[in-house]
Amino acid sequence: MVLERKNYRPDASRFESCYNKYKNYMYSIAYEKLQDIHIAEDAVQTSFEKLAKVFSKVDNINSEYTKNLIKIITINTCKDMLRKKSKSLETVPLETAGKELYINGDYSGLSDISYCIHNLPKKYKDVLILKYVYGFTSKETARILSIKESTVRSNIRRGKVLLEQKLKENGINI
Amino acid sequence: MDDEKLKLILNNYCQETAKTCEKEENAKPGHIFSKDFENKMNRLIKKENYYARHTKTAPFIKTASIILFVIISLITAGYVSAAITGFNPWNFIININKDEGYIKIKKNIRNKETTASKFKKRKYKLPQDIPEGFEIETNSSTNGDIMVIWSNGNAKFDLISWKVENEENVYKNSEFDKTENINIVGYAGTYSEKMV
Repeated sequence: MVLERKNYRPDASRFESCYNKYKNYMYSIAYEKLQDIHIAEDAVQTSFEKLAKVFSKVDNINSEYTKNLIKIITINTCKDMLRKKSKSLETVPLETAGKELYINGDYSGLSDISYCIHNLPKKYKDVLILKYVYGFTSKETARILSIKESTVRSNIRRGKVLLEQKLKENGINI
Repeated sequence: MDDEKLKLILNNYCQETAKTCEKEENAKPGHIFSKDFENKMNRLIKKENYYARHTKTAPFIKTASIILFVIISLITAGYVSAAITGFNPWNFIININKDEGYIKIKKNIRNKETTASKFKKRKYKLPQDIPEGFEIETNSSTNGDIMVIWSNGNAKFDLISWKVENEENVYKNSEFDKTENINIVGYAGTYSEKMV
């Protein structure tokens, strides 16, 4: 199922419903990474601001796709904040920050193809998912991930190449 | 790899990993957010609700206000430039000459020809002591030369003024019976009468 693009939000309180539903979830992700209450709240607020810019493309706020999108946005916001403040805080190291959350989750039931995707570096996986699953443009993806638009395009190219290599290594032909 | 195939396998991946999101969502108890956070989020929600209700007008208003700001800034810059340097770029007109195929910048020189209405605004003033019943019948000015004729149907008053070059003969109508040197609106003139 692919999210349909919508240029309007007929229900004015959808964003508020989304906020009420996911604020604790986003906070738990942010606190796990940043280990500071106030900075975690800042990360949640920044994540919601990024979500607001692309909220017109969110179809169903209760779907798994929306949850996944919110997770991607929150994790990348935390990474961005860690990059700026990693020296002053006692936080989880940047390299393992992304992996910890995934290790806590149960990913043992993934198919072979999904496992190859799962093992891609996060920077490539996120841009591929945002572009091909959520249908965001390079500009919107850059805004969500707080990176340059040119970086998004190059990560998409490299991500595709790397994924093809991993699939070939595992003997998967598509 | 096709974009369609890539989209398909990424969608499958998201569906398979979505189950882990449910576990993580229930992992932590509810956090009590600070007042600052709640205030900031309330402002963001109000802003989003406004844009949600005004999805058509809000972007239009934003665009129109930006365009208006740019236009006002350009006009203001022209007047500021004129006040400081004496040069106002808005006095110049850009002409695109399609026949000659190049853009030509041409100075907009104001037309110096005056009409009767503008005549009154210049340093020349029409005589105020005109007998009753006389009205302006003709008025013209060309290259600074002025001719105004008042008439009441029977008699006429002519006001003729032109710049006399050096050694140029002043025009005189030999048919006039009486002439008198007078001062007309600050300039030396001749008063002439002709009996009909």
